[in-house]
Amino acid sequence: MKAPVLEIRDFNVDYGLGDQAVRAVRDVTLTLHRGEVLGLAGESGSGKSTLAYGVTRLLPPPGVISGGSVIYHPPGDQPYDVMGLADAELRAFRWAETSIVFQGAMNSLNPVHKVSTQMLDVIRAHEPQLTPPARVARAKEMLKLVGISADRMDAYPHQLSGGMRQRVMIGMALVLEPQIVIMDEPTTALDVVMQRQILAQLVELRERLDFSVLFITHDLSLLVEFADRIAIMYGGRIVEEARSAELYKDSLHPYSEGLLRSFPALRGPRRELSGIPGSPPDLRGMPSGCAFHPRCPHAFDRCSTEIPVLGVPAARNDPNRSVACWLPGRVPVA
Amino acid sequence: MKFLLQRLAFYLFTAWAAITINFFIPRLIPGDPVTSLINKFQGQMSTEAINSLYVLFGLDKDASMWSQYIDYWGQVFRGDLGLSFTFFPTPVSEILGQSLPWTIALVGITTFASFMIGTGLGVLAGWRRGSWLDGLLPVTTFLSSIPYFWLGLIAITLLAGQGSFFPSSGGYEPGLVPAWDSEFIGSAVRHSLLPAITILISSVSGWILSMRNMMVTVASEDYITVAHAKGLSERRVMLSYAARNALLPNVSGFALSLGFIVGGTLLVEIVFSYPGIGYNLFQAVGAKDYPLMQGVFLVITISVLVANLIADVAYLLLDPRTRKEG
Repeated sequence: MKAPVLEIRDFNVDYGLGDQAVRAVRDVTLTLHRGEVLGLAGESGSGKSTLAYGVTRLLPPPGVISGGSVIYHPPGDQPYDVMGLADAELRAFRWAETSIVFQGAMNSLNPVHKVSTQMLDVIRAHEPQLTPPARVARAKEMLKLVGISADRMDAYPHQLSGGMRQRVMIGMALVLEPQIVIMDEPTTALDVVMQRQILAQLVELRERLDFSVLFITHDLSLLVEFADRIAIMYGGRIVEEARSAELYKDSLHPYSEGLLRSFPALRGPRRELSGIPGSPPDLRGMPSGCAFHPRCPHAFDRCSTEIPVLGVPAARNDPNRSVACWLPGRVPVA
Repeated sequence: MKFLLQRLAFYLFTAWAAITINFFIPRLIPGDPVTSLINKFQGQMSTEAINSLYVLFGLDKDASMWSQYIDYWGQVFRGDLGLSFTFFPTPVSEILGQSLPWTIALVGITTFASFMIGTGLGVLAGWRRGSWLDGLLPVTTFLSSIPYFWLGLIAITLLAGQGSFFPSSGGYEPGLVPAWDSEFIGSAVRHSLLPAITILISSVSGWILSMRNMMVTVASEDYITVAHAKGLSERRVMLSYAARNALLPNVSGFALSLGFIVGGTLLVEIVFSYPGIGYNLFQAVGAKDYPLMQGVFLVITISVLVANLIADVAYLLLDPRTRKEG
């Protein structure tokens, strides 16, 4: 098994304080390994993006990280907790070690600055020792890698198409060659053709630059193809984690199964699309026990009283899998 | 460039329209300036003198409206705005030449200072929402809601008066001869303090409020989060990403307010008897002094148009989205 690069441990995020607080992310433990693409999937409101913002400490108020740690393992150095970094250290950590590609391809670039200004200022902030021509060369090279010609450097964002803007953002995310790139629904605002092109490019770039990806999306079909491992989130918790092929063929949690049944397969036998009945839970009034039990076709008494623990399922003795469900055979071994 | 030329043509058209209206309005108002001048001299004028006055002011019945209009344009281009009735026989251009610097110095500097202070505080208040700076907002809003003339009168009553540091009226100590020496400038500055402070108090909150609100709006934009995620310094994110974008509406507001420097100070100058353009206008209206009124209106019109042009150019420079690629 590969070495970890980012370990998220017992991570909790609340919106608001005190009794009114809404717990958006609960006890999430997740490990991203070096060179891997980890997919994070779930419906809207399941806490995926909140987790991404929390890990990088970018949560806008009233979001509060109420517990947990995020251990970053720099290559060839001692691991440290991102939550314990001082402001200046955090600024140095951001983008140089962990960069983010955000949801809104359209609004991620500042409309009044040129592409070059926005690419160069991040290089200047993190590598002040580079000479200006060297910075420009680096930015141009990166844009070339993502398929943007160097003469677009001096363009303003409104002169680029949505796909080009997202390429620029991906290029910008890689310009400092970070260890981790968090992608928060990077292709949601784009059409399917552009989605495919960008993802193909991303796969290529990843082989070349060898970074790890935390890929957040509600599109599980995308992850099945693209990710090495997939974690499924529901109601702020991870409910299942497995290698993507295994999750696709043999999902254990009823919610994962529901998600997989919500899109058609391109190959293989036809199956009926069923979707998931009901709607995502209201975070202000979570159901007791397993948050999924009101929508679960297999729920029984225990589901509504006890919160299932994420663990290696007894039926599949595979340390790379875990699931949080009370159904027979899925209960943790120990 | 093409855009600028289009704007320029538009402003020339507007200037023509404004000057034409400026020509007609006094002639449409009932009442006769010569009559009011006769009243001023209280019947000590002969019939010949009255007739020659009519000719002198271009109000003799023989000239048609059209030939008066043509003559008026000729005068405008020569900078000859006629003779003032109130300060007869001083030319209007001379009166305006004397009062314009006072207005521009007082109101120009205070408008600029108000914009800079207000925008600066607005940036901070918007960026550090919920800090003590936010508490400043209701106070400044309250001060700006006070009618200006009342604020001025209160300031005079409380601060000016016998033996006080602040003089209650005028632009400089009576008896001093305007010159570039320390005594005169010191006196002018001392006379301008009270009007300047009252203008500042009543106008700064508008800038604070609009800048703060734009900052709050911009701060929730995605590119601000991206800028934070890029690990840029707080200062750089605040100035180069948030304030830079939030500034746009305020800049056009500022350019427009430049146009009102000349015209919008009537109350200040009346309250403080300040020797500026607004006070001229006040006197001109009281005395039915058409040439002076027309002159003041002309100056106001031109300054508003120039300010609009500045606003267009500033916006063009600051916001790349408004630039049309040629």
